[in-house]
Parts: sequence; structure tokens; C-alpha cells
Amino acid sequence: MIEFDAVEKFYAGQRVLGPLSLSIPQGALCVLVGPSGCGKSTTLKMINALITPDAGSIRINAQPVASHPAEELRRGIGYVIQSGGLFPHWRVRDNIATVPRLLHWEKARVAARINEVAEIAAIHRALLDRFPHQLSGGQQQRVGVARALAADPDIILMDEPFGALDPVTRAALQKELARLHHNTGKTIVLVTHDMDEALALGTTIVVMRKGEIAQSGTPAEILAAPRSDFVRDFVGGADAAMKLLEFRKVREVLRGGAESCDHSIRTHDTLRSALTEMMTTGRSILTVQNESGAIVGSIHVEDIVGASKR
Amino acid sequence: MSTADLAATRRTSRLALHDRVALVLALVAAAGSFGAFLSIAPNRLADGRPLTLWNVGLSQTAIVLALLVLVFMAAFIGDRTWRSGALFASGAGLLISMLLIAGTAAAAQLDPQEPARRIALGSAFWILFSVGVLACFQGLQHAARIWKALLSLALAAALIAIAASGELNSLSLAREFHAQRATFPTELLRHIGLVAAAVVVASFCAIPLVLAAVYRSGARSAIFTTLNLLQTIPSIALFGLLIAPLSFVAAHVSLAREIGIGGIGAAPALIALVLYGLLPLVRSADAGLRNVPANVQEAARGMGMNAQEIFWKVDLPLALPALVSGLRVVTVQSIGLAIVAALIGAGGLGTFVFQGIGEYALDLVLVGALPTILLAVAADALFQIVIANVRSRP
Repeated sequence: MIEFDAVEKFYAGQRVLGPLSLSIPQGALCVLVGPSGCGKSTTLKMINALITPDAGSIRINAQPVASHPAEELRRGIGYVIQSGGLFPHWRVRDNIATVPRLLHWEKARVAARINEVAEIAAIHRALLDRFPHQLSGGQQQRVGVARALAADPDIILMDEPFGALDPVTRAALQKELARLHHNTGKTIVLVTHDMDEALALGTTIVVMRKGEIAQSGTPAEILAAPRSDFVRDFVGGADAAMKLLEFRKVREVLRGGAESCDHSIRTHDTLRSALTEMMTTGRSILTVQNESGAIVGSIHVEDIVGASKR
Repeated sequence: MSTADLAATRRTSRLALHDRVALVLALVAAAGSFGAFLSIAPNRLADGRPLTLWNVGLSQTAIVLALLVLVFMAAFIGDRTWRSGALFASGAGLLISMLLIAGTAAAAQLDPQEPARRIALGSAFWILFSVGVLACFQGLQHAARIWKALLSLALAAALIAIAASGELNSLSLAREFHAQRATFPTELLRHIGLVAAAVVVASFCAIPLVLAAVYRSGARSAIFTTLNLLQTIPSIALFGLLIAPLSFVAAHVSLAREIGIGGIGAAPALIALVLYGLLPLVRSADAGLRNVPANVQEAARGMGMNAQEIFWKVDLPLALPALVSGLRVVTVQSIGLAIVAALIGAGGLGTFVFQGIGEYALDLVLVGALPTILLAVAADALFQIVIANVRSRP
């Protein structure tokens, strides 16, 4: 659990952030999203004390961040930055081992851990003895993630981790991050300016503007009920309705009674795939099956349209 | 055969210029060869009578002509390996034949009736010798590092062997060297010692300045302004300026006098060399440390490194190539500057240079100048090897 309590930051007498209060639950993948200069990176860097707040306090598991020596705190928190930020004079292996070595782990333990996290981050063994400049951008970013995971921290901070990658690599790495989060249950705080990335990854999304929180909530909440024009525009205006369908399940608008139809869909599918199915088959009604394949009802196109309006 | 193949054949079969440098070298050598190869004077002070290369002897002329033609032809060889080989071979041939021809021709000019006769090397010798050096460099340009080292060492060994064999003893340069043989090793060692001491002291003095310039933003401009100012003082003026304060110190502090500090001698020379060395050292170290990428430093901080760990593990290794290249500049610069130190009694190879100037004996000047050049080239090569290794093994 990471808690911000009335945190403020000033530069040259101007308040650039806050007062900001926010709590990120254990195991969340919280995405801080907003236009450049909105304070999202500043917020992130306050968690590992790279930036200190001028007012208010930040607590991790009820312990104030300021109560620890900064270096000690940072060794316990994973940190991933844009373009990797790898040490160019160290091999991939040594980059990954950075924090374990700072923590004076035994050699054998470090070596074993390098192999372990390389596997988690899908880094091929052959790459471990290369230097960073010999890797592609996507591979460098994987190493950046592996380095952050090396000492097995509970919290991982990611500052625009996929910002410098091409769209294909970015999508692949996003998918892997989601899988990693699901498998490890770590608390991840990620900063991005890309709303689609936030929607694709976040379990919690914090939309920021001019140093303040414009709205926070689950992706569905923000898409369904943007609290201001800024949030509505930022999540994509009219397109938001289509995006929302991604976060709604067939079972939410299911009609009882078994209307027979030769095309079917399952209860846990998204409304978006239901709509796609209707458009490709030319039907306005689909039969709905549950997980074991039994017919439990039907779904109608007007119900999907209704759901996207809410 | 396709049209592309035909075009390619036509292209390669036509005579084409592949190496402009080789062509220029051949033309320069050809033009320079008409100057005086040796200059024969009845004594040290009188003006010499020139002897051109083409008058030395038929076989000598034929050898030099053949080598020049080889350099010329090398410019038109398409295959890089063959071209490089031809250039190196002709360059090495020029160097060796120049020495041997000069040695035998000088011996033939000796006259027992005229024991004071001086046989000096002329412009044609120096031009052709330089062309030989440059042709060797050009030929080795694309060679693997190991071949570069082996071939240069072999060539250097051959030239030294010729010099040591006594073949060149009739030349006035060798005679001047012979006359100085008692003091030469001492002065050479003094020169090297002075340079080494200056580089070491300057490096230690540079450390606090670099740290202040890089990590204390306020000190930066003051440091660079001062060092730039020092660099603009002409070296002779700086040596002169140091005489008064150091004489004062020596006159009033007996300890200083006992360890050899005085207005003239090694102390002012060392101080001046150190002062001149500071700017290149501080500038290159400053550039190296400030060029460490910001995101790498941020990552280091974010990983939990403290200030010392960031300096030793990240900043310093990444700045190392710049630090070594700073040392290289300072070493080469000090080897040259130390010549002037002889003016204020610090000794070194400059002793021969100034003695030669005073006695109007240009060959004696060369006794000081040639080893200085060789020292500088050797130091430069040594540092290049170090830099290449620092880069490839980060």
C-alpha cells in the first residue's frame, strides 16, 4: 500500500504539484497518466525519494518514506526508466545484478538470480554476456525490467518504460508486463502519457492535470463516467464508448430465455467481441453460452448500444 | 555475362586512381629528390656544397627510382590488400635505402686531407625519408592491429640496427651525436624524468580541480578562466616569471634551497610544465564526466547507489577514455615544452638544441630535436593503444 497524504511540491515559489492525496493498494497496477508537465513523473519519483515533497507525507506500508535512508529505500523498490537507462560499460548480466550486488548478496545467489529474472523477463541466455549497445530497444527494455526485478522488490516503479519503442514491440512488452503483474502480484506504478497504454495495462488509472488528480478509478469507471471535459477529451471523446465495450462483459447485459440462433458467444467475453461477432456474421442477436457450453440466454445489439452509453 | 558484369569488368580494367595520398607522396618525393641529398662543408661554420641524389651513383639512383615508381603505381592498384602491401614495402624500402645510401655516400666523401669536413643531410634526404614514413603509415592504415604493431616494430628495429652498425658514422649528425654520447643518456633521462614528474604532479593537482568543476557548479567558470589564462602565457615568459618568486623562496627558506628549489633549474621547469598541463587534463576529465548520460545517472540513483558508488562504478569508468586521452595530450605536449626548460638550466634534450643554436651547428640541434620527436611519437602510440583497450573493454 502506497499512500500520498496532501503532498505538495514547489519550484521557484510556484506550486507545481498538489495538494495530492492518493492511495495505491497492494498488488495494483496503477497507471499515472496525463499530458507532459502534469506532474506524473514527479509523483512517481517521490515514491523512491528521487524527489522529496515540500509538504505532506508519503507512506509505504504505513512507514513514512522519509524515515529511511534514501539509498536503502531505493534498493528495495524496482525502478525502470525510458530507454532502459542501462549502464553502457556493463554486460547485461552485470546490469541485472546491480541491486543484488549493492545489497552484498553472495556470488552464487546473484548468479542464480540473474538466470531466474532473465527467464521471467524473456531474455535469451545468449544475450546475458552482451553489452547494452548490442541489443535492440525492446531487448534493452526487457533488461531494464529484469534489473528492476532482480532483488525481488514488492514495488516496481516504471517511468514511461515503453515510450521509446516501436508500436509492435511496445504492444508485445505491454502484454508481457500484464502477464508479469498477474503472475507475481507485485505493486506496479507506471507513468505514461498514452491513454491507450493506461487502459490496456492499468487496474487503477490516475488521470493527472496541472499537478492535480483529475480523476482516478478503474478503466471502466473513467471511460463510463469522465468527471470533466478534460478527462473526457483525454480518454478519447466519442471513441471512449468503443473503448468502454472492452471492459464490459457479455454477462452484464444478458437476457434470459433461450432464443435459438446459429451463432453464439460466451458469458465472459467482452461486449466488444460480441459486437464484432455481430458485425462479421450480420446477426443482431447471438446465443450466449456459459463456460461449460450450456446455453444460458441471448444478447441483443440494442443492449450493447445501451451499455456503451452508461 | 550480364550488362552489370560487363560494366564492372570495364570499370576495373580501366586505369583508375585508388589512393590520392600515394599519388601525392610519389609526386612530392619526385620533386624533392632534386634538392641537396648531402651537403658537404669544409668545416662546421662554412656553407656546404650540395650533392644531389642523382649524382651519388648509378645503382643508388636505380634503387630510389624503382621505389618511387612503386609508390606511384601503388596509387593505381585496385585491390586494397595489394595496394597497402605495395605502399608499406616501398615506404620501408625508402627508409632503409635512404639511411644506407646516405651512410655510404657520406663515407665516400670523407677526405683525410680535410679532417674538419662536415657531411650533413640535405633537404632531399629529409623529404624522401618523410615520404617513406608516410607511405608506411598509409600502407598500414587498414591492417589488423597485430600486423600494425609487428610491422612497425620490425621496421623500427631495422632502422635502429642500421644506425647502430656504424654505417652512418661519417655523417655529421652521427659525429655530433658521438661527441655528445657521454651526456646524451643523462639528458635523455632528465628529459623523460621531467616530463613524467610533470604529468604525475599535474594529474594529482587536476583531481581537486576536476571534482570542483564538475560537482560544484559555482567553481567551474573560475577554474576554466584561470587555466585558460595560464595557457595563453608564452612558455619562455612563464619560465622567466617564475625565476623571481622562486629565487625569493630559495633565498629565505633554507629547506627549499636544500631540496633544490631555486630561480633556475628543475623546480621552475616542473612548475611551468604542470601549469601548462592542467588545462588539457581538467578540460578532458570535465568533458568525460559531464558526458555521462543523464538517464544512466538517474538509473544509478534509482537503483540505490550513493554518491560514492555512482562516482566509482558509473561516472569514472564511463569517463575513463576521456581521462586517458587528456593524459595523452599532456604527455605529448610536455615532451615538446620540456625542450624550452633547458633555457633555465633544467637540462634535458633542449640542452643540445640551444647549444646547437648557439654554436650555429644545425646537426647538434637535431641531436636534441630528433629524439624529442621520437619520444613524442612513441608516447602518442602508447596512449593510443591504451585508449583502444579502455574502449573495447568498458
